[in-house]
Amino acid sequence: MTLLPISVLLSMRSREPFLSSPAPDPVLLASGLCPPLPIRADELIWGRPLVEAAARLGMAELASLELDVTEGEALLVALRLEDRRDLYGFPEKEAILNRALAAVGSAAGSGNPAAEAFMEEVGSLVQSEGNFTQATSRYSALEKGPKALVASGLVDLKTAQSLAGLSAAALSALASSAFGLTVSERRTAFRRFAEVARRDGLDETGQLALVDRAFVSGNAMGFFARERFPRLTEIENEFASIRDVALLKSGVTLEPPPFFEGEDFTVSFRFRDPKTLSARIRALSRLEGRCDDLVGLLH
Amino acid sequence: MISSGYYTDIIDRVYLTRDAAKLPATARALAALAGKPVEEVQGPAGIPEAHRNRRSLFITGSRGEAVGRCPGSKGHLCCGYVTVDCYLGCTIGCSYCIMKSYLNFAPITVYADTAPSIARIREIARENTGSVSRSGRGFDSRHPGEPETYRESGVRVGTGEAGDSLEFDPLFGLAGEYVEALADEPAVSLELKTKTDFVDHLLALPRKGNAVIAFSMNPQPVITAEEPGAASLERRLEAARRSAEAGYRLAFHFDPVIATEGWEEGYLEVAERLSAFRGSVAWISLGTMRYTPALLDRIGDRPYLYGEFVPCRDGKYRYLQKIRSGIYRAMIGKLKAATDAPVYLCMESAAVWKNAFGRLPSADASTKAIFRSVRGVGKHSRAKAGREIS
Repeated sequence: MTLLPISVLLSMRSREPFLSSPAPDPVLLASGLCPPLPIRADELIWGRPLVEAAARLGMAELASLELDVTEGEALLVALRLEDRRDLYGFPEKEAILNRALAAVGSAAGSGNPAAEAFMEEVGSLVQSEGNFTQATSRYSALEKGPKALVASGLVDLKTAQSLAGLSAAALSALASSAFGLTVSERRTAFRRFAEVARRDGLDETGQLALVDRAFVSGNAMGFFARERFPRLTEIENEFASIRDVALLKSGVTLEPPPFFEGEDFTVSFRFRDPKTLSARIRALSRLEGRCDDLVGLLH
Repeated sequence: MISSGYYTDIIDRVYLTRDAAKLPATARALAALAGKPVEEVQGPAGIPEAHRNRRSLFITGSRGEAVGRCPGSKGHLCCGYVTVDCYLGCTIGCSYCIMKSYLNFAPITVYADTAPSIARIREIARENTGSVSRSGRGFDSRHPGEPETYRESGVRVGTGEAGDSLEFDPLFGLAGEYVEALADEPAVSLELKTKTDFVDHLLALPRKGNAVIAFSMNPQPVITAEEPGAASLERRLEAARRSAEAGYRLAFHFDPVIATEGWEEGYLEVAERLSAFRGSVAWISLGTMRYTPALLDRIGDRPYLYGEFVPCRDGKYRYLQKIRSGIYRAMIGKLKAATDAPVYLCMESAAVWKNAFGRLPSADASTKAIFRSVRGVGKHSRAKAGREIS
């Protein structure tokens, strides 16, 4: 172990793939309670944020340990010291994967057992579930717009993949308007936007106009549902119109089968005396007059 | 008609189990694939992962439960079709294929020993003899004035549930083994379902019994866009003509009907062309496009997915009930005018049956015969079949 001046450590090459390392605790750092920094020739394998924090604190030197390791082993050391399994975002995972692939070189994906074991070890240090290489490669393959959405946590990888070929400007506009939506609503909004844009062959201007109309409507989710399912919307509107004319404020509720799939409508009501029962029966009579129209919604 | 070199172009290698090695069907196939590497394995697990794809053939003897009943779909009416695992998977590559959910990383599997399945079908036939209105008559013994098409549906058995019945059949000749062996079973209608025109090796069989050669139908633009390895519509119709001339009964399956812009023109025109086969058609089925969430992930970006699909009781997504009822009514009207064959719906709800036909299948003699429950056979699990070989 060697004590190295901060200025030397700062001048060393650092290729850490980490973008969101937690800030070091200044008290521990000032007390020298941090791990010795692994170095290899003129490279700082891990700990650049520690060095920078030490410099800010005015410290003169930090303990370091020179390691005789390969490129791949250096990455494994960095991942172990970073110790943030399951907390890496996709941009970091992409950087880690690129470093790992560079380390194995041409052996990557060749079925070489040593290369496979190395990639597996890297994956296990990055995430505890799923296939790190596959998922990260899917992220890497994304276009710029969808990739930015995943990087910012706005949409999941699967949703982002469904946005290929769409205008980056429109996706960005949709993203900036979608912050108020829940995760699930956002996923639905992006998917429906993509489906409508593709179905209608919208160019960038058309896609931007679609986003604009969605948020001007005041109910983006409802807007995208109407645009994506016009026939269903038509049926729902017709149903609502029949129901409202026949039953509004009558105390009788009318439900269609889910998604108008089936053959039965359901009516329900409560009554407490002959007067309220008569009112419900009168409402049902009005509904009876529209029964053919109602049943026609399922035909 | 099959081109020379078809199989050597699409197949890279063969794996087989010891029990399959001595079968005549295997010998036929290996002779045709001479020069391709052949390796004996204990089972599908012995196939290297890199070769578990559709460029590999896996030939095995028979499967434990090779004969089963179509698993059906919750809340939907199933015709109780009996299925036989003969060929699993195909190379046609239809974008909408449900088998993508099960067989994506699997070789083309061939169950080359037909004897156990034939024995089992005979058993089932015996158990269901009572359900055949008149037995003992072959195809050529129709009674004057009797509607030819649904005279004896009996036990409908098909090899095309998990793969194309005929794509690899010129290589193995399994269909012929089934046809000939079941020719003396009047209660059995064996259906060979295909998107190819590979029928010629079956035409000269001396005894055809109640065998039915069935063609999956779509308008040519749909075939071009969604069924890349399939025979064209013209070639399928021509193969149907040759089959009928050779004495086979025919069936046609419009499934899936894909309702993109202008669907009516294309489909109704195809339906109309079936009038050329009047008197030879055993049955026609209809089913609109449907998919499970798992399949959706595998279909990718196809324009037909922008239709208005909603979740149904079985968890599958189908066009809105009102839309597909309209599709069925239009198709049924045209098919009824063009042919005298019974038309039925595949995996549809009672509500849609009533919308399309004004009745349930049990209320009409032609569809009642098709939907008659088959006794003594358990449900087949496609997912299980997929797991076994993937």
